[in-house]
Amino acid sequence: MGALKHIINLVSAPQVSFLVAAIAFFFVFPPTAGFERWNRRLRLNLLWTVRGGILLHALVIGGFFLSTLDPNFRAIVAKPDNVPIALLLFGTLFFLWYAMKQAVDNDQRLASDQKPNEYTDPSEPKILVWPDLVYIELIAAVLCMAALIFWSIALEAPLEQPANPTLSPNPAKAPWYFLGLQEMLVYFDPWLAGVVFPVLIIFGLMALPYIDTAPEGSGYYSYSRRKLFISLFLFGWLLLWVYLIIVGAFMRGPNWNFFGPYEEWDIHKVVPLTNINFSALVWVKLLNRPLPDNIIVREIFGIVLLGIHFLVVPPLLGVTVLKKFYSRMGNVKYAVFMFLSMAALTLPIKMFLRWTINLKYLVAIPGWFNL
Amino acid sequence: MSNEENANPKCDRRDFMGKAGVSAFLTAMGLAGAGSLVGLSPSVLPDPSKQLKIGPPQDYPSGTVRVFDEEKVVVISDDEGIYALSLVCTHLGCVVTLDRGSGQFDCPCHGSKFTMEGEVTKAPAPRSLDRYEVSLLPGGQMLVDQGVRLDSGEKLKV
Repeated sequence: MGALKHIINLVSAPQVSFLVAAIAFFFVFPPTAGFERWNRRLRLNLLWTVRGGILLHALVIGGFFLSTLDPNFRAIVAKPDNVPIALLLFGTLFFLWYAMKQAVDNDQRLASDQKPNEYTDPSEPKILVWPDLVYIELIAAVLCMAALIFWSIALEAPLEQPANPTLSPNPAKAPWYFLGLQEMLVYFDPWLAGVVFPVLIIFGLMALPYIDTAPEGSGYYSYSRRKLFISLFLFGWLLLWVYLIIVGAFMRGPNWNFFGPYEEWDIHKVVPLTNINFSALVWVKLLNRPLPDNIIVREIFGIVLLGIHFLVVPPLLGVTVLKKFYSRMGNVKYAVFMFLSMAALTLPIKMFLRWTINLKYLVAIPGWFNL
Repeated sequence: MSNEENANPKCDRRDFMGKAGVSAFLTAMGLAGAGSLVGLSPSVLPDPSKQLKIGPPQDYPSGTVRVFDEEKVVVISDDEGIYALSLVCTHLGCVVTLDRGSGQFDCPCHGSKFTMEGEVTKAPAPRSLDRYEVSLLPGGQMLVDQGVRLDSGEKLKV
């Protein structure tokens, strides 16, 4: 048992867990027809059936309750602050499964030339908003109220003494919905992670209906009709947001060090410290020269890499792998889509560079731009 | 009253009163808005004094590390002299804590780490902790001036 816990602790380190999750993701949520074939071959589409759902939930919930036998795990998840986060994650899992089940159901119906589940024959009697739909909402509201009252009685609110500005709690955590942002701030300059990326997320969400204008598959749940967009959106949501919330809430301990789920939160945990800017890596370590004084010359390699990432890769993809996609989208839509995708990609890329070569900043122009 | 022809058909009396009211309102709002700009640079700042008297150098033999919680300043004395660092993380302004065991400053918010000299050893902090000027007053007291930031690793030699 101890060995198993040790292995889980090691595997949950972001270097491993994020990589595995990112690769597995595209087989579970295939973005292209090729991945979709693999998805079928590995029988992963059976996850979205009732049986698969029961198995999935049994594994996750069973694993969770088995883990609470461990005192370190219990100490973290049973903190009054963290209980709603745990509940929320189960909710995310359930609704993800439920939506995917409806989508896959519809895909099968459409494949066998049936109408989607949501289709109602115009000749059928209509359902009225009042009283039919409002009635359901009333029942939901009453149930919700009852649950909240029960919760507030059963679990004490985590109130603390008045805040002391001279004493930061350790670890100092943002509210759960900002933990994804706080995790991003570990890798990026505050201006980028705190302002630019959130704005890009909001604009990206606003741009979605203008980028994905294909009429097919709208009005009902469907996966395979718009797999690319659903897959990319879920990648951003599940891996770049929910995953970061899980890590931030349950696996970041004192001094914001990483701790596995069964590891004790030791305030004196020793982590290796070597921090290197990309400029120092290239000039000093690879070229064996001192850092140039001119800041642009010093950072030129990072700037060139960034330029390739944003300005060369998208057109290159457009004339090779994504040729069909590019001709369907047109210039403007393709450019916006690629800019948002490449901007989102900087997050996992930067995280990996930090984990593997301890990269501090790719381009470091203090006071102006650090990435 | 007879229905007289309006002298100026584009603007009758009611219209004129309406327009006058609106423009008076806008003018008043504009003036009030312009006036409130003055508040952007208040003549008195209710900040506590940026100068901190920390006692004579004799109180700081080499190896002393004294943390001033209120002011978020740490005064450190080593073989080369006495210097003062800000305890505010240069990343997003959390207060770093001193880990006396490993001799480094840890930020509880995003995991930055700094040496005792204030240099960053672990990102995301973009630059070293601020270093404040320490000077000797005529009375023998030392003064840490949080208004004066030093760029080099200067220390007060005693």
